[in-house]
Amino acid sequence: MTARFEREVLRHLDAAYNLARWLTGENAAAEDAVQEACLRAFRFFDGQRGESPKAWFMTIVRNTCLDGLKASRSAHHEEYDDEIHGATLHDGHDVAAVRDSDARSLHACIAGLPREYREVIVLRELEELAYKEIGAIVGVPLGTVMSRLARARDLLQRRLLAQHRRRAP
Amino acid sequence: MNCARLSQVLDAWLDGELDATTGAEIELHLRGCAACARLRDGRTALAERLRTGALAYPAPAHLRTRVERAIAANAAPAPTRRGPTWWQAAAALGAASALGVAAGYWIGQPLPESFPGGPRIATW
Repeated sequence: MTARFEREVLRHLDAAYNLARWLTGENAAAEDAVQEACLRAFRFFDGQRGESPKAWFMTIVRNTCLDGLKASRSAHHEEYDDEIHGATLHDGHDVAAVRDSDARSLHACIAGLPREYREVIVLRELEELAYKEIGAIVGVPLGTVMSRLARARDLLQRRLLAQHRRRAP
Repeated sequence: MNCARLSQVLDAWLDGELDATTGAEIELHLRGCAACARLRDGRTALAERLRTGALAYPAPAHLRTRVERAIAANAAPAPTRRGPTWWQAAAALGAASALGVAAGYWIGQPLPESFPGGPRIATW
């Protein structure tokens, strides 16, 4: 293994596993996907001339995960919930709901997001990637990254609010 | 800047992805619009909650070793393909000719009367 591969790719192993874990929903599947992604990355590393090795590697990780999900047919697709989506975010109730949410319910709300929203939340909020990098990884233009993140956060807030209301006496 | 436009650009602004001019328009709107200011507060609270929620899964300790072993075992980078040099080609040709001559000589020899263990032809 070359020192350059180690320095530019393997140092992002935590980020790779985090994305894979959120996409696959399972420890074993995430480990398998990361290993396969590393093998693919190593094979094609010499031809890689992008400006962000992390974005390049994360693209491979994402594609490997999606291949695995397609193969296992375990991808669950969740439609937008109109009832939740209808709630307003301008009255300030969601702010309290977000602040009061415990780690478990927050985790459950993210895990329950449709995949296209979940992945942008993970890439932006947990991996702190720039929109340009997210666009490269997900394969969409900047405008789509922008609107997808806004909808993802909207949906997350609405679900936390709905949970908060269910818990309230 | 109106409320509809603000809801489209608020996230990108909070993420530091917009230019200063648009940022100034957003700030001006937020100062005069309580509803949009609440929307901003919700986003700020969410960002804070996500940041402190310990939501990232760190890679398990054994994964790195597993990956390094897999790479060492399976993934030699594709070698540069080059044809044989002229002397390698000549040597191969020479070896093939010598083999041909030897085989021809051997085939031309009569078989002995008894050929212990005689040649067996696989029948699969």
